[in-house]
Amino acid sequence: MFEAAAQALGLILQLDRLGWMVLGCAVGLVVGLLPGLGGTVGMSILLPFIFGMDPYSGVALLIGMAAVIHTGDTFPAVLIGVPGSAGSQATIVDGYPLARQGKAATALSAAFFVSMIGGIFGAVVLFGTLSVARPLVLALGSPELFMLAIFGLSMVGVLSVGSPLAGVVSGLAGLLIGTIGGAPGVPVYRYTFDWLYLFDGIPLPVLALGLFAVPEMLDLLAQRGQIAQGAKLTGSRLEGIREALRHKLLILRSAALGSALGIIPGIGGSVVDWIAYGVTKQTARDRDNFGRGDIRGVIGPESANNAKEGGALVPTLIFGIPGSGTTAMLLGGLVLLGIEPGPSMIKENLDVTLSIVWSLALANVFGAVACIVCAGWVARASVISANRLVPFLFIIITVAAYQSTRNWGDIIMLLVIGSVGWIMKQAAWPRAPLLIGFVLSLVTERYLHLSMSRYGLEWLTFPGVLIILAMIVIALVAGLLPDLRRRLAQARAASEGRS
Amino acid sequence: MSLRERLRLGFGVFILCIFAYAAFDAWDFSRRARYMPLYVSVAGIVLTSLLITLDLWRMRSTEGRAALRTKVSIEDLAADDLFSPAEDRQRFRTTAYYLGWMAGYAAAIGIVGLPLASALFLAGFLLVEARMRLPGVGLCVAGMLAGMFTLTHFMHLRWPPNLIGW
Amino acid sequence: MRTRRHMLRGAGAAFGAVVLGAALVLPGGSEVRAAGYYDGKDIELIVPYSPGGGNDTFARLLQTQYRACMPEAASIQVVNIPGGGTVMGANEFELLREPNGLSVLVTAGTTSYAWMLGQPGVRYSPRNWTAILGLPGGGVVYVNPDTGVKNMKDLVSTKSELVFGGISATGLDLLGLLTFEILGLDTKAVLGYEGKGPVQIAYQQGEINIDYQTTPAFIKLVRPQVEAGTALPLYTAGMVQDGELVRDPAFPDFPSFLEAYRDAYGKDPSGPAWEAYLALVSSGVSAQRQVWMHKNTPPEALAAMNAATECVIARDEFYEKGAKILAGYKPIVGEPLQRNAKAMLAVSDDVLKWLRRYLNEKYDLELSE
Repeated sequence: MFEAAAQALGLILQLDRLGWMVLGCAVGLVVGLLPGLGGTVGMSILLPFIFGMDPYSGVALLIGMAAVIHTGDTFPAVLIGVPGSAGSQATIVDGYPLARQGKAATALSAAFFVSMIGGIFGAVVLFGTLSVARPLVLALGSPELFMLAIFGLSMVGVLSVGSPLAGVVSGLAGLLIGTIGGAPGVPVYRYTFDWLYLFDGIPLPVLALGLFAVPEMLDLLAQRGQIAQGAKLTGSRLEGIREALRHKLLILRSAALGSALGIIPGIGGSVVDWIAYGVTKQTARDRDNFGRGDIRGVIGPESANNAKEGGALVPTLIFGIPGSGTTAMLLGGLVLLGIEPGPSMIKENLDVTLSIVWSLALANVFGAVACIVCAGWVARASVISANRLVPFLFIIITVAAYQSTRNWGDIIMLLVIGSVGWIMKQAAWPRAPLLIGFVLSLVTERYLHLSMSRYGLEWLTFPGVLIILAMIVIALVAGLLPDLRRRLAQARAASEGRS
Repeated sequence: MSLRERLRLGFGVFILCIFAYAAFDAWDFSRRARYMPLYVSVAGIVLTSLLITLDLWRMRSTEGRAALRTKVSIEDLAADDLFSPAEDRQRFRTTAYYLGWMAGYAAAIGIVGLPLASALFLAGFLLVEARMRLPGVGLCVAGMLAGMFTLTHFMHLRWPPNLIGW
Repeated sequence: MRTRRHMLRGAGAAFGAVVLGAALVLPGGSEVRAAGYYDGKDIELIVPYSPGGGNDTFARLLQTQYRACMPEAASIQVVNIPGGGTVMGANEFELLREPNGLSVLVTAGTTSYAWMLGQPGVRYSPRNWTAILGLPGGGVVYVNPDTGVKNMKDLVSTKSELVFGGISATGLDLLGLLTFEILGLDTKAVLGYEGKGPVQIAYQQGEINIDYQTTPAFIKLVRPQVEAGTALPLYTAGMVQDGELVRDPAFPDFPSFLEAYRDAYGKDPSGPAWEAYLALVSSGVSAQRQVWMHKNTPPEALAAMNAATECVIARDEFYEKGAKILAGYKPIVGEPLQRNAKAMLAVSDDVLKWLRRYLNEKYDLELSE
């Protein structure tokens, strides 16, 4: 195995192949940087190159892009509070407040640094689990996948500290909005009001941009401020890296979590960073600063969501089943290169697989370094006054939103959801749970239906199901316990004070 | 009741109506497509009613009302600045104004096409709102258009169809 | 001065015109080209799928080959219009594209099925199209030997529970489901998987024990299991040729469904389910992937496109580059293609009505009857 790995490295470390990788990275960075664009746009740029390329160069190109999208999309997450491609959602919770405190450079470079480590970790996991992956993936049937989706949903509670009930209602609303469009497995189109646009449901980028970007821009304009309140940049890139190094254990833990979740096809990709955020928060000793600019709230999810790409490549390569949105795109590209995912990936095509592993690691390093280099001056965007910055942003967002389905509905929904998102923000209704509910809606329904259809109610007694249920309960209790304890202490103090 | 509190309750009622409508509509779906939306909506109705009740309960006392403006992570950046009701009203009016700009831009795209509408939107906004001077505005618009055309070409982006057909 | 420049320019233009004219008129290259309808024009191949899927790969293969066969065209682009199954892209082709020969639609079996079954949102009709190229695509039904089934007779008399996994009852899985209906099997259909890949995993996990996989997936994923003894192929969907169901050319050793039925019952199948099955095979298997143009495209365009298509399927590169996509099937053009298209469109209304009612009753759908 190791000689093969060394050989594969030699294949990658050729000038033209590295050149392709750099091109892929560049595309991935731009796609991640611009809010609202996702892997599809990146794929459409690279596809014309791919057809007919030799597999190693093609792999370098594709993996270059896929690896780096999750690094680059930290930019909009931190600077504008907009979830980038489906990956960087949780980073907005603590990254954006940091930017508002003028610490954009710190947040960004910390995020990039841990992204690099997470990505490399993911590549290592990919390498290590290739031979044992099959039984791992086969252990998760429909009931277990359903429980994992529920686990993801339970993170909703973690994110709405002050108002858990509102968070749950938001989550339910997200689940409901996710049912708009086609039902999984039946050609029934729900809540479409006969508008062809809604037949595929509301596109995720439109929802994310509408819920987070539009309200933020409106508020910035109304306050006549700039992203960094006080218009001063404090913190620096070096500080960001230093901060990151102080939490080495957290980085590794999150990376492990991310790659493990990435291996789970279908579920992992959508909510890895929320789960990582939730776990980070719940295992932290003092949590009061979470949501207000705690650097750990950036480190956890960022490390995890780069690591997840390595994990997600496992079902992608071994079974041909994409583990995340990016790997779905990747799969198409691999097929075009003539690489057939399947058992051959660890036998005849091992060299291609290993060059994928190396490309993943190298691209993560390259992407992170490039981003850290740019982070300094990109962070300065946070001191530009809103009424100069926002019109540019809004143009970008409108064009990006339109790419979702290339239909006027995209722009209309952007404005409608934007207004609703703004109202939610003013009314202190948490929006993040709505996004989680939306992302998990289809998956939850699908696996619930498959489980019921296949096993009736029997699946509730499966060992895998019970284990995951226990995990959910533990996670919820661990999350709510300190809150309860504090409230009890407050109540006790209040009653003692009175008496 | 302050504007924000009214907004919160109002939004709660709005969500309640959405859940109710969704549950009602779900009844007509075929059996398999019905379960998820129905159960989610019913749970939504129950919990939203609970939430509205709790909110109303808390609003009866001043500590309650303060607790209502509790930090809810990124939501708190709005509640952070505790504006007075008058300031709130002014801000909401300003927001509606800016939303108007955005809607105007969207409408312009539909009439004169993306590049021209973007140029007009950017120029107009920078001149009127940012009070930038003409040469600076010209530079920004030129840069924006250059970026737009380059990215469109390389990323195979598509522009919304419009009345003129550009 | 001015006059001389004028003269020179005029001479130059005349010279250029002569050269150009000669280039157009004199035969050039080994490709057969009809009189330049597509000179300097942009052609778009509309793919109703996101980039990267099987149909998209096929379209991109076509793009490279057509570009070689039609050097006079300014460009040939693949345009992805995903959404609604394949409905959005097909709708756009039908409603928003001029029949000027510059737009070509690449469909998969589900496109025809969605139309045949009257799925909501379908605003297109293959009745308005002309077929240019077709690629067959079959599949195999296989079962888990753990059920105790060793052959067709076992299959129809087994007491074990047969659990079938699929995506939906209106896609290619309908072929498998109909074969069970015709055989009189009592299979439990678990529908709603995200793709046939997850279905295959479910099979390996033991969640389902009977499955229908299309040829490329079968070769890649199931064949190793056949060799390991954990999968038993029963029959192929077969292909319709001159009204008969014949064996799938990619699996010459596997019985077609018709032969399998005969093995089980000793007679030929008949009835509305069988008629429906034949109709579905013509439209989704004999020519699973198809390339269409509008019916009222100008005849010169059609001629040019047909000539280019003949050129494409004669190229070695088409078969080399497309080895995996073609999966051993040969593309069909000309008369056989038109006959197949006609067979698909000539499905009787009674059969369609039966099919829709069957799906509504058995799978609780709401297709308009």
